[in-house]
Amino acid sequence: MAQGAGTAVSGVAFEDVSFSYSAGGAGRSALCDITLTLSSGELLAVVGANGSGKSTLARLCNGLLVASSGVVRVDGLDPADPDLTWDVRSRVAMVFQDPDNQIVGTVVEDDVAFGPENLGVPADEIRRRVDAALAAVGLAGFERREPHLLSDGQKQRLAMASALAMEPAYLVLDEPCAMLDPEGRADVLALADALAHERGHGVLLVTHDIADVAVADRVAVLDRGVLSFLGDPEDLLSDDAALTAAGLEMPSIGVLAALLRESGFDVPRRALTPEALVGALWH
Amino acid sequence: MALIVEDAGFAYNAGRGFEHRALEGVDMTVERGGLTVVLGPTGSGKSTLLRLACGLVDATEGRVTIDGQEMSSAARRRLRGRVGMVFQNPESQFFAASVLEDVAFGPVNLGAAHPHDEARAALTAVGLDPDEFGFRTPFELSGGEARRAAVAGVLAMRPDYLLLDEPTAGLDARGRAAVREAVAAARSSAGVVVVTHEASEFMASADRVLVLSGGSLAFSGTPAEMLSASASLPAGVRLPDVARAVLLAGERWGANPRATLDPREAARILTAMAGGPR
Repeated sequence: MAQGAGTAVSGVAFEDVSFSYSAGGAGRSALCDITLTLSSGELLAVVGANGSGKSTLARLCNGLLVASSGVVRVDGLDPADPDLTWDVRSRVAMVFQDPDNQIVGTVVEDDVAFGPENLGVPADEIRRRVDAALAAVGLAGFERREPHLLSDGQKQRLAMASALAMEPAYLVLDEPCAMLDPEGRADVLALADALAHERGHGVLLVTHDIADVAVADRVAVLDRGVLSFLGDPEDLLSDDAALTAAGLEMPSIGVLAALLRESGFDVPRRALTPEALVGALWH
Repeated sequence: MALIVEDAGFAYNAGRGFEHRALEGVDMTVERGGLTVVLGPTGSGKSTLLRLACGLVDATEGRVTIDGQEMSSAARRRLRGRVGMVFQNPESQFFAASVLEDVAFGPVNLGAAHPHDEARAALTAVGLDPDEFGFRTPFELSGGEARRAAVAGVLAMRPDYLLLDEPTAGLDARGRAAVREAVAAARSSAGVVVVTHEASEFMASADRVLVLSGGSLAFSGTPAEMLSASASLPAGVRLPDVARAVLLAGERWGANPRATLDPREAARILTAMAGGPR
């Protein structure tokens, strides 16, 4: 990514970041010496077993938690600086596991407007942002619907629209698919993919699902608070021991793909959906 | 010896302005030692079916019987004790200072002669060593350990039927494997019903699959029968990926293969269809 000379470094950057939930750093660190950067236009998957520090990492991105040591920088800004907190949070939006916990409006468009209203955005600009955000998540036409009548997948896309209406550069999605059925999951994953690769947001996706890892540009593995792998998903997907350490399990479709590779078929390691696998055999 | 739900319906707020029909004409039979998997999109009535089956709510139509006795009868208090229910996120219900005390709570309240022995046996059944885990606080267990301890708390009451609502949601690979093992262990003494979004997680070991859609049964049969009924499944319910890959390849090559859950068999079918490696 091109960067003008003298401009602040863009991205959400972690430098030697550690975090402990007990004051004074006593007890076990939830995160230990993490260095990584989320860039614009990148889908970065973060995986790890339960309790490995994934959600802690997500909450450090916009100052919900503040590093015990090391620094986090959002486009060069320090989320721990009280004067910069709101600037940082307008750049980094978060979506959590259960959309019911973050929907506040009585109708869809009110929920999406809530963020920009609180930022003091002018009314006609709010209208534009609401329409754009709902279109981006495929909920145009749902403006006057009541959120509790939406499916869970639609609710999660609404939560993402409400985040997008703040026009953040970065989106942090903490297991957004955990409570969804397979259709809802596929919709939300496709949206995360489009937000990074078509709209240029930097997207950090915390997940247990190997299908999410397959569409990511890079994957970070946390193992008891330590960054044990950072790189190309292909490399992780070809290493069974690393997968197990990451709390991931090669799904049956991956076992099938491996058997086909053994028989001489050229099936990419990222082909972990029926569509991708059959597409690889067919072409 | 079975838990039988017969032509059951249920409406929330029945007869009032906000009446919402959640279930209609649903049949389910769970034999002791059996495993029934209930699939369906969110809002299709899966959790309501479990609530009916354990006697938390009464069917507005039809009936629920436990080994021939009606759940809504005078015997309901006793019958309820024979059906164990593990809710979503059961670890949020821990309250005792140690895992052993938490698991023993049920047997203590049922007046068991040796409640701690029951608790130790239940912990062992779910793969948690009582000597290692029994004296730890339940609040510091990992996700998989916590879910298994919660299952043990229900097993310790020796239910004849065990109902689990989304038992693997939010767990990592190790936790999911642990829950699958706990379910297998429970089947030695109980009939088990698992409600899940993950068809692939339990389908291979199930003897019965129900698919709910909009409160009605869209499918009821064996896993093998479900594989050949894929066209009639409602939106929001998918066959496991291996079976879908075989069927999708069948469409591409104009063949009509038999879907399977087994990757090895699927590899043979796909290799034959694709005409061998190029």
